[in-house]
Amino acid sequence: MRPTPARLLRLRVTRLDAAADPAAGAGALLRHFTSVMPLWTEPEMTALAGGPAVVDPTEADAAADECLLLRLLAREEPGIVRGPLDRARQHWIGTAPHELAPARRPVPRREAFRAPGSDPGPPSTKPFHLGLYTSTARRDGPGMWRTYLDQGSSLHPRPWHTWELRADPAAEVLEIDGAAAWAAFVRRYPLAHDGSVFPDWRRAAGDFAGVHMTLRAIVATQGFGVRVGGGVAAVPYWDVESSLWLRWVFGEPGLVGVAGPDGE
Amino acid sequence: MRVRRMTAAAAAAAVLTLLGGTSPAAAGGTATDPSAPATVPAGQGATQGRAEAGKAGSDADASAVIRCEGQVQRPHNSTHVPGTVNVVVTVSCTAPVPEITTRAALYKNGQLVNQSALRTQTNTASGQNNAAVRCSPGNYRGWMYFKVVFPPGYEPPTASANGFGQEVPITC
Repeated sequence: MRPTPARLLRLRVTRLDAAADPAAGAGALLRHFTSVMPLWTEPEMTALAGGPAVVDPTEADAAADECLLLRLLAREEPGIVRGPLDRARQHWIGTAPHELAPARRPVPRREAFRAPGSDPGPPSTKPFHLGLYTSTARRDGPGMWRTYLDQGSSLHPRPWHTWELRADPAAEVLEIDGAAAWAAFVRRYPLAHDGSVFPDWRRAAGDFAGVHMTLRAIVATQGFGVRVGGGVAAVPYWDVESSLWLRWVFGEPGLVGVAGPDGE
Repeated sequence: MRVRRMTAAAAAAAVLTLLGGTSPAAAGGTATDPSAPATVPAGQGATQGRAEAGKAGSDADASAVIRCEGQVQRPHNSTHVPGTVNVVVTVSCTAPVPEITTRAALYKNGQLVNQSALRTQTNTASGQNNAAVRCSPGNYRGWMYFKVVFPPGYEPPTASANGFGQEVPITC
């Protein structure tokens, strides 16, 4: 018998909590989170669940709240775990071009920013073709995207240029702090496509400058569908805490550092 | 003490049986760090690689044996680089070790389409590597090789294993 979505969530929490050491700092806890969640990919979920897995948002959020790792992280970095977003600590990282991503640039530029609707791409729960992604820097270290890069991936060659982007304090940011919030977001801005309901990022951009996907939401939603209206929301795979900016609301970027080919 | 040493020796023998099916003569390979085979052997299923070493110690000493397990994840559409199929391989040890070396490879329809460089990580309990290609529809499978250098006093001093992951169909 295949495990239920609830059981899969408990398995996920168990794996996250395997390194939930109260004596560990936020850096170590985030490294463990980053080593666990990206492995929950679509094929792995399909193999585990035997097909699409749909969770009840309330149950999923309750499971995430049982996660000791998140509770420990929330002591030092509450905004990364549940929001709200710290607009002053947003980091964007430009990695070197790769043959599979030749257009990469090391500097975030307003001229290269593509707002939703300017170039219609395929519906997605985490679109690549629009906006800009940042991760919140820790109070004493880098953001989770840098933590992900440090694990090593041939798809993101060095040098890595880390930039601080300070978002306008008045910019509206939608907080996705769990499965219920994710379901509400998709329900509010639905885009039906190919049997699933995707977020309509163009319409969301009319109300929000950015959407902040927190760690609690990632634990509760990654790999799972949730019922929204007459359908099921497409499955998100965000891996690490990030914000998708739908409008350019930043001042001048500030270079934080460059990780060269031989490391910093 | 004698039982522990026999256990370590037996474990080392079990590890060695997992080696095979690789050709050190391929580009980038050496006699001790093999490259991925050019094709998936017929009828190949998923395998699992383990390496372990032990040292003299009491039966109650959990640190007397360090076990390292390699896992080949199912290839997937990358969620960070569009239009890419990626496979991640991981090694997890029960304690930190001086070195973990890994290589990942990706197969499409039984043919090798990409393999990574060797990656050595030091003073760690875990290792990771990946291999990726531009996505085109097909059946994908990953392969990994890993080698562990154990701390001084452990026997054997090094151990390695390699194996294939599950094959999955991928549309782009």
